This record gives sequence, C-alpha cells and structure tokens, in this order.
Amino acid sequence: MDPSRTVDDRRIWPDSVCTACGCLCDDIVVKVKGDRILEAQGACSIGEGHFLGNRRGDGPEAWIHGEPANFDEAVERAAILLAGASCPLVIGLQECTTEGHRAAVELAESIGGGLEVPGVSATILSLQSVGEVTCTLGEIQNRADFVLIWRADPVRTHPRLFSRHVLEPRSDFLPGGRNDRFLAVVDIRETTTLKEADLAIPMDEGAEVEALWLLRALVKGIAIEAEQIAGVALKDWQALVERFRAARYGAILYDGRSNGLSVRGIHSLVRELNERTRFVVMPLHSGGNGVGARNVLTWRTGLPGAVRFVEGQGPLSSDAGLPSATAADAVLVVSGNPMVMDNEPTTEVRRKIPRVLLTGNQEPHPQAAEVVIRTAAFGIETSGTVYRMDGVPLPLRAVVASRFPTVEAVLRSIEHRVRERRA
Amino acid sequence: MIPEFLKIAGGTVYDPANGIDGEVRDLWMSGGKIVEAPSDFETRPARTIDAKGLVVMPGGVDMHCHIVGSKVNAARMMCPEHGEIIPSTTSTGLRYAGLGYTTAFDAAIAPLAARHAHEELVDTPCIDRGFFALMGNNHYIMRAIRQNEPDRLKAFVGWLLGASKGFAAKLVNPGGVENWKNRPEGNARDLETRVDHFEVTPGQILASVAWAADELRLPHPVHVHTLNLGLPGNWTTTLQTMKRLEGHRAHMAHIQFHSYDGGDGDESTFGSKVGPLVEYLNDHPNLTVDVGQIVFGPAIGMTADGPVGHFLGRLYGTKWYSNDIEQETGCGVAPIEYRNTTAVHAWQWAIGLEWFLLARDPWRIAMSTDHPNGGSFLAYPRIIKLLMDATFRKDALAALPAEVRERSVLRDLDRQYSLSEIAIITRAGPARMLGLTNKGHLGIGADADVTIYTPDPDPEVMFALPRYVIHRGRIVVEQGEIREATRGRTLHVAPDYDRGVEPDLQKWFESSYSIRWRNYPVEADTIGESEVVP
Amino acid sequence: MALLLRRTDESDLPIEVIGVRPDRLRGMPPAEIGRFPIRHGNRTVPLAEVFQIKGDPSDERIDFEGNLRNVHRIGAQMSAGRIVVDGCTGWHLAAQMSGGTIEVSGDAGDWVGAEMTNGHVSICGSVGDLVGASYPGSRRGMTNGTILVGGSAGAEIGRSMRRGTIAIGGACGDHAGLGMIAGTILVFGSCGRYPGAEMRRGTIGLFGGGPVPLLPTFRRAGRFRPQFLALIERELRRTGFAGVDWPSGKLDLYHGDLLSLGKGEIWTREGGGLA
Repeated sequence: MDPSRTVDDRRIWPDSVCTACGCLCDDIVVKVKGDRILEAQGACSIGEGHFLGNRRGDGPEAWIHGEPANFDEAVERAAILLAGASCPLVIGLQECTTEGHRAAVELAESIGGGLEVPGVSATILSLQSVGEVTCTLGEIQNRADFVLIWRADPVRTHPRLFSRHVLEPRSDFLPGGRNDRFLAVVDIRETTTLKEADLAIPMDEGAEVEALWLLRALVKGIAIEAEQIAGVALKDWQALVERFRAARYGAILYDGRSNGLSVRGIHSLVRELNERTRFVVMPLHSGGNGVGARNVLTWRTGLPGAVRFVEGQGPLSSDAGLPSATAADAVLVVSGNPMVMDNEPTTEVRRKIPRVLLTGNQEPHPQAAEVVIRTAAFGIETSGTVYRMDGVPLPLRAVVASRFPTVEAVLRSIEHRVRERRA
Repeated sequence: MIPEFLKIAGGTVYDPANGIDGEVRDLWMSGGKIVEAPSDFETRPARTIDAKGLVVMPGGVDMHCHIVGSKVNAARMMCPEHGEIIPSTTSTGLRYAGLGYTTAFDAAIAPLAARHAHEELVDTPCIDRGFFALMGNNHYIMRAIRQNEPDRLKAFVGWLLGASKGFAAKLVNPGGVENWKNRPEGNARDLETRVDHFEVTPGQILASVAWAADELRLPHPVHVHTLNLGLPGNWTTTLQTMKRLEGHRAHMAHIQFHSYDGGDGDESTFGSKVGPLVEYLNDHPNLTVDVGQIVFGPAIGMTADGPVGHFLGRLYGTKWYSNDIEQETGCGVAPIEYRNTTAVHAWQWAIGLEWFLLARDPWRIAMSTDHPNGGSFLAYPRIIKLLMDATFRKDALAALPAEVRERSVLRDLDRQYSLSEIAIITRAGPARMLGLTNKGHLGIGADADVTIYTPDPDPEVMFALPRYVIHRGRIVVEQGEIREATRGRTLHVAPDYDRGVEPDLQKWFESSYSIRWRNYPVEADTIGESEVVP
Repeated sequence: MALLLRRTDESDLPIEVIGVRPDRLRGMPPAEIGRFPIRHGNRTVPLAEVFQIKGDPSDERIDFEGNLRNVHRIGAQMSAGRIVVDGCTGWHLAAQMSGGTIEVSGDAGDWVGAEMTNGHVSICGSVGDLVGASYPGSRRGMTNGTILVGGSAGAEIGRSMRRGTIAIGGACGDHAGLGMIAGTILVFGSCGRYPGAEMRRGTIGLFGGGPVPLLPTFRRAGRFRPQFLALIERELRRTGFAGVDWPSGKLDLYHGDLLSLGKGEIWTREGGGLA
C-alpha cells in the first residue's frame, strides 16, 4: 500500500524506514521532488546523510573489466563466470530485502555455491552455546529501569537509540522517563555515551573477559581475591553488581561486532542475572539488513551462518565446514560498498579470484570486479521487508524510483541465464 | 477452455465427514477442487490414478505445530545440532507432503513479528497454512477488560487478526507471561492471580477473548494454552480453565502437558489426571483438544510461554533463548531430550495416549506432537501405530519404568483406533475444529487435497509412506518421490469489526510500541497466494 | 598390503574424502574403490579422478600421499584400522572417529578429532583451531581417545571435551579447554589467554614455563607433585610422544572455573599462574 501523498509538486512519504544504522527508525517523513530527496524529517545526522546523500546514479549500468557494458552482457558474463566455477561463493547480502535473499539462495543452489553473510559470528556462537535472553526494543523502552552499555558508543553510532527506545521514553511502567532509569556504561575509552552515564566505569583495554568473569562471579556470590580487575577497583565492580540487583528489568547492550569470549560472557551474565531479576541482552547491529539476511538464509536452508550447496545434496553447513572464502574460485559480492573487498580480511586471497559485484552505490568503481552491475540504492530506491536489530520486521518503501534494477532482479536474471546455459 | 480432470479410480475411500467409511469409489477433481463426475461419459480425465486396493483419505491437517516465525528461526540458529527436528521452511513443507499432510497451522505468532511469519509461510511449499495470533498477554486487551469495555476488546481482536493476517486468537499462559516479564519468578498460578499493573485475572482474559472470538464468528474459536504448562499438579488449573470457558466454543491445546497429578513436592506423586479431565471433555461439546503427544528422543521446547522456557532451560541445564515481545507476549526456546527411562517423560508419553484412548468423541481430539515440543511431526505414523495396535502399545509400555507401567490406566486399555477414526483425528476432525469447510473431506467443492496409502499390516509403514499425495489437484508425491513442490496458500481471516476503535487504538499504539502504527499491518503482497476463510 | 592414495594435481579446490576409511573400504573390489564418490568443489566425483590408487585395504590400512592441504575429513568417522598421511592435511581430520589410529607427518587444519569418541591420532606438525572440540551447538566435544600434536595448536582446543587426552608439544592458542566437562589437556609450549574458561572438571597442564594468564575465577590450591603426571608421561612416551620437556618438580595447582562447578584443575610450572 502506498502511504504517500502529494502536496504541490512534492511527494511526502510518512513513517519511512531509515536503514542507516541498526535502529531502523521508521518514523522518518521523506519529502521528494521528482527524483530528488529534499528532506528527511526526523532523521538523525547519519540518517540525513543516508537520505540526502542519495543522488540518482548516472553513467553505465554495468562494466566488464572496467569497460562500460549493458545489463544483458554483464549478466551473461556473470552467469558464465559463476556457472563455470567449481567452488563459487555469494557473499555480502546486508543491503537487500527478503526478496534479494531468496534470490541469492536460489542462485547459490543453481550454481552449487556457498553463501555467507559476514559479521556477528561471535553472537551466533554464543547463542549456540548458552542461548540468549533478549527482547524487542519496545520492552526496553517501556520497562528497562537499568541499562548497561558494554563497550559501545550508541550516542554516536545509533544517535536516536536513547531518545526513542532506551533512556528518554516515558511509559506506564516508568512514568518518569529518564528519571526512572539508571544508565551504566563500561568502556575502555572516553566515549560520548560514557559522558551520559549515571555510573561510568572506564576499564583497561584487553581485559574485558576478566571483567565479565568477575561480574559473573560477584553475581553468583563467589568470593574473588583481587583488589582490582581490568584496572578497576573491586568495589567499583561491586557497585555495578548492586545496581544489577536493584533492577526490575535490566538490559545490557553491546556492540554487535564484538568478538571472542566476551560475547559469551555477556550472554552468560544476562542469563545468570535472570536467576534473581529480569535481564535482557541486545547486540547493537549496524545499518543495512544483515539481520534479515541471516534470518532468511536460516529459514531457507535450515542452517545458521555460512552454507554451501553441493550437487545432489541439500544445503550443507560450512560454519564448521570448509574455509570456503579462501577456497572459492569465483565470488559474487552483493554490496553497497563500491570497494567492499578491500575491507575483508582475506583480501589477498580473494583479490586473485574472479569477482562479480552488485552494487547500489552511486559511484561504483568500474574496476572493483571483473563484472560490476549497478542496482537500485538500498533503503531509498527499494521496497520489501527489512529486519531491525531486535528481529522486528519492517516494511521498506522506495521513496524514489531507480534507473537500475533491484538486487533480486539481477540475481534472478543471472540465475535464469545459468539455467539456460545448463539446458 | 475445457477443464482438465484428474480421476482417482476405484480406491477405498475413508471420508468420515461425509459418512464414508471404506467404500470403493471414484473421485474426480478439477481446478483444484473435488468435482462431480462429468455427466458426459465421453469425458476422459487428463490423468487417472488407479487406486484399486489403495486407501484414499483427505489430505492431513495439522492444527497445532510450530513451523515458522521468529521463535522457530531462533531455534534453528541456536540448535544447529537439532536441524533434523527444525528443518528449513522448504524441508518442512516437503516433509508434511511426504507424510500426506496438506494443511498446517503454526500455533503461536506474535503479531508484531507476523510479517516475518508470513515470509516463512510463503516459503513453505506443498501445504496450505496459517497461524494463530498471540493475544493472551496483550496490553490493550487487558486494558479493555480492566475498563470493562467488551466491545472495544472485540473490535481489537478483529483488528489484530486482520492486521496480522492471522487465522485465530491464541492465548498462552494469559496474564502469567506479563507477570514474568514484569518481575522475577512472576507468573500466574491460578485463574484468579492478579496481573501486575492491569488489575485483571487470567480467568477474565480467557472468558473475554473466548467471548470475542465467538462474537466475531471466527472459524476457529479461542485456542488456549492455559497456565502451569508442564508443572506437577496442573490438572486442577486445566479443569478450572475448561469450566471457565463454559458457554463458549474453545480449543484446549496440547492437553497432555496440562494433565498432571502431583505438585505437593513429592516426586513420586507425579502422574496422570486424564480421568477427570477427559470426563469433563466428553460431557462438554463446546470444547475440543489436541494432544501434544511426546515421543522419546530429541525435541525442542518452543513456546510463547516465556517462564516455561526459563523453567526448561534450568531444569535440563541447557542453553535457553528468550524473547520478550513488547505489549504482546514472551517467547522461550530450549532443547529437550525425552527418555523412556525417566519417569516423568514416561508419564508424559502415557498421558498423551490415555487422552487418545479415553476421549469418547474422535471429532473433538486431534493428533499433534505440538511439533517440535513433544517431538517432530514425523512421529505421527508411529503414534498412529500406537493407537491402532494395542499389542504394540503394551509392548512399548512394558519398557517404561515400573511406576508408569503399573499406575497408568494404559495397561487396561484395549481400544484400537479404526482407519476411519484415524482419518478423523488426523484430518476430518482438525479441519472441522478449525472451521475449514473446504478441508478434511472429499465432498463436492472441497479442496482437492487427497492422500492415497498402500494398506499394510503395519500402520506405521502405511502412514509413513503415502503412495500419492495431491494438493489442490496437483500431484505432489508419487511413489515416495516429490513430483512438484506446489506453492500452497496462506489461510487467514478478515473479520468485520467496529472501526470506531481505531483512533484510540492508534493513540495507544504510538505511545507504547517501538514501531509506527502504519508499519504494523501486514500487506497482501507479503503473504503470497492467500484465501480469506469466512 | 596397504591401499595407497596419491594425489597428483595441485588444484586448490576443496576435496572431501568422506567415507574413505579402512573399515569402510576393506573388502571392496579395486574398481569399486576407484568409483567411490568423494566431493570435489561443488561436484561429486569418483575417488580415482583425484587420487592415483594402488594396493588394497585388506589389512585395514590406507596411506595418503601428495598435496593434501585441501583434502578434508581424512579418517572422519573411522571406527577401525590405520591411516598414514605423508604430508599436510585439511580440516576435520579424524573428526567423530570411534576407533583406529591416524598418523600425519606434517600439519593438519582445524577440527582435528572433533567430537571423536575413541581412537588415536598423532600429528608431527602443527594443527589449527578446535582440536577435539564440539561442533557448533553441540554439548560435547571428544568423549574419549588421544590426540598428540608435535607442533603447536590454535584456539579452543578441547572445547567441551568430556574425556580423553590432548597433548600439544608446542604452544596453544586462546581458550584452551573452554567449557571442558572432563578429560586431560597438556600443553608444553606457551598458552594463549583464558585457559579453562567455564571448565567443570578435568585437568589442564600448562608446562611451557612463563606466566599463564588465568581468569579471576581460578583459585590457587597449592604446590604439589602431581601423581597423575607420571602415569600419563609413561603412557604418552609409549605411543611415541617425544621431544618435550616433562616437568619433574612440584607444580602449582589452581581450581576453577568457579563459575561452573569449579572442579577443574590447571597445573603450571612453579610460579606460572598469573591472574
């Protein structure tokens, strides 16, 4: 359903979803004239950049080896490359809607390839070993009288999180809003968020795990013989634990990109706190639709994390399987970032591998891959379902039309060509 | 265009809804429906299936399972080691078809995540499907009860089902989940427990929503998972619940999990209280049940009953997933291993079978394992064998711990289900309970959902491997092989309700939810092919 | 006579030799062995397409030679017999094996002996992460058997192991013995961070000397001469685990992880345990 209305020569889109950060604020009023976005009312600075930075892409619709090409040629070339590979890989997928993910699964199946959504492996591993006690953002908004931000800086990375959901809102349960809530922040450096804390604990870098194990011990009433842990006096940690105990509904928010044992520590701590009071944990994810990608891939394949399709078999897990990224002999990257590969740790290996890049970026690098195909800009020129960091699904509506096809349309075209070639 | 016909010739038909109990008949279908045999004798079907000597039944209907949505997907992510019990949407659809089932309903979807559930339903092939929308701990409902505004409540239930494109109203531990969200160890232990902040009781929620569902003339009445699931001594709450629902139609879900004796702290008093409960059911035609049979082996506890998830995670020391969903519900997931050497598990197994064998009217008791809570739906053929073969059942009972063997009435029950009764509890009955007039039977105008079995002395073999499965007139399974993964339809309701409630509702919504009112309803283009059930 | 499988090509595509194990191939006619299906990239190919095949596995022995770095799952799920690898192997060597022996002259990748239930694995070189570990989501890693590594090992060795022995001649990475339920891990080189996190029972010997970074939830129990060590030393020497410096004097004992039962033991050389 199209909720937009036209006033004079402007089209106004109410309650639009902003995909710039993991908050997926869905109350943005976007005003459009022609194909230009004039205003994104209600958006934070990151969101404004996202909406207003969008310019209608010009130039070729695709490149092959850096030379302009038309869409059909590029699709043909991509199909040849992927269908001819023995171990192709589809990665990225954070910047498309459910339809794109469905198409990616079907393409991976048809080429016998792997599928990977980068990031959050520690959160998934922790879920698989201890579980997760979580909630939707509205529960924090309405109930959380205690919030701990663990090594994250949402004031900077998720600018409206505190005002919309975590700190400011008043509710039947917390009529005093901010005054009814206690904010604790633990970090290794002076962050903007740390300045807002009712209790700020600056700790030593590299000692997070010790600190979390200590907190877990204190929560369980286990005596610890140490004067300080992670550069923080034991009594200060004890003060934090007292706050845990006083909470009716506590929430711990951490950076969704965190790695290592600390994620397991945070999830375990929250679980253990539920023996005494209610507590929830929430990883703060970044923008785009990585949460959706993991959801769709999981329900479509039954497997969380990386999967691969092998001839004559269903999807297989490659979480504990093979080093698929390094073994790939062709890679399809679905991304908005024109030079996405340079951010990947395995660049050196992957650079040598023939690549196809689907990108909604307005100024893609023609030589970023052997084949570069442009797509509609995610979050602005595309419609469909996106998933917020707490798993709540939201409808995304294109506020301007694109010259370029959607990710799903390109993926389906490639798959169609692959099947035609096979037949 | 001349319609194409598919004919099933000479099969032995079991169609209890139409009083047909093992008669040799032909079936004609066209356009996805069962049709009259063409009057023109010249008409040749496009295809004829020779069903001579084979058993023909309507496609199976699973009225209570958990197969899609955020909690199932969380389980898939948390328990890759149990992928067999919680497979992908694709496998789920294919497996149902492989068992001869063509319709299934997910029994617990939070409306806030309805869009997610629908996206998974669209991706579940071969079956028609839908879900029940959770509303037992909904703040607006509790508010309307407190303010004594039944009409507002009724309008809200109508709006909520329409907005989420759900099929029925589901109550899970009404009031108890809200208390658990609100304070540690909070819950509702009986129907008169006060719900914090809202000043209402579980009993009021039960009666009010049951009334609203009746008033809205929903095809399926209120679907109830009552308080104290899985706890010793919970049978008294179950009986109170049934009594509280007098005067309304209602369905009691996975009744096995609610029929326990004991609860006085002495483990040896744990046992069955099916007797008084089934007696009540037998005497009260307003009520129906599904069993929630357990099977020994791995399972996944998966429920909107947040405190039950916590209980399971603690009881078995396993990983535990919990998700509180604003204004609506909780959600708990934890793996379980049912062992036939564990007395409580053995009791659960026996109690489920006691229900099947003691319920007098097969039309009011449905097959379910509350998949995957009691085990996978793939266990249905095994359960059918336990019902049809008393010797097999007694042998299985003999392997259980002595206290169950000796104290369960199962040892004295010789009842064996007939094929017709199996057809009732696996398709005709659930379809009728759901109010699906086009499902569960083979009369003219019914959906052409048909399963053809090869008779076998071993019912488990017979029901595990249907010879043909037809969904909406298309052959999905033939000789154990998938022929076509049909798309299936989403079945939902679109009740008429008083739209005058919307301004107040919107005001409340915008002040409590973390998303905007406009972004809450699920649009038609999200749910694929669909059908509104009147 | 052994069955000899020699890889001749140099392609980097992953090869998975699921089922190529002595207990499975024994008694199979040579032609059938040649046709035995293995995975090569995204295809299923006959064994003979990737390996030169000589001999037969009648004595329950298979020898692997050639470039095996990208050959995965060698000896996985094997229940009896012997596999000898001349070179370096890929991932999942000996995973879920229940019996027999596997010897590797070079290195091996991740998941060596993951969830193995019995048997003996010895690797002269170094190995990757998750030796003897549990697979994602699973409650238990190895439940019995022995894994001996001459070189170093990566992170999370012995994750959730239930029983059995892992001995690493060199260094090991972070989180050794994470969530271990019981069993023994010995490391003769340096050790990464947080050994024994969430261990319930079991023994971790960290004999590399130098400081061992322990979590605050381990408690010093004293300095003893451990009785068990001589037994293990004799046993491991017998199986050819040599070239390491066995501690002779007293050792420091720490109990933990107090967060989970706390009946685990971490032994270090004198003065090694540092929180």
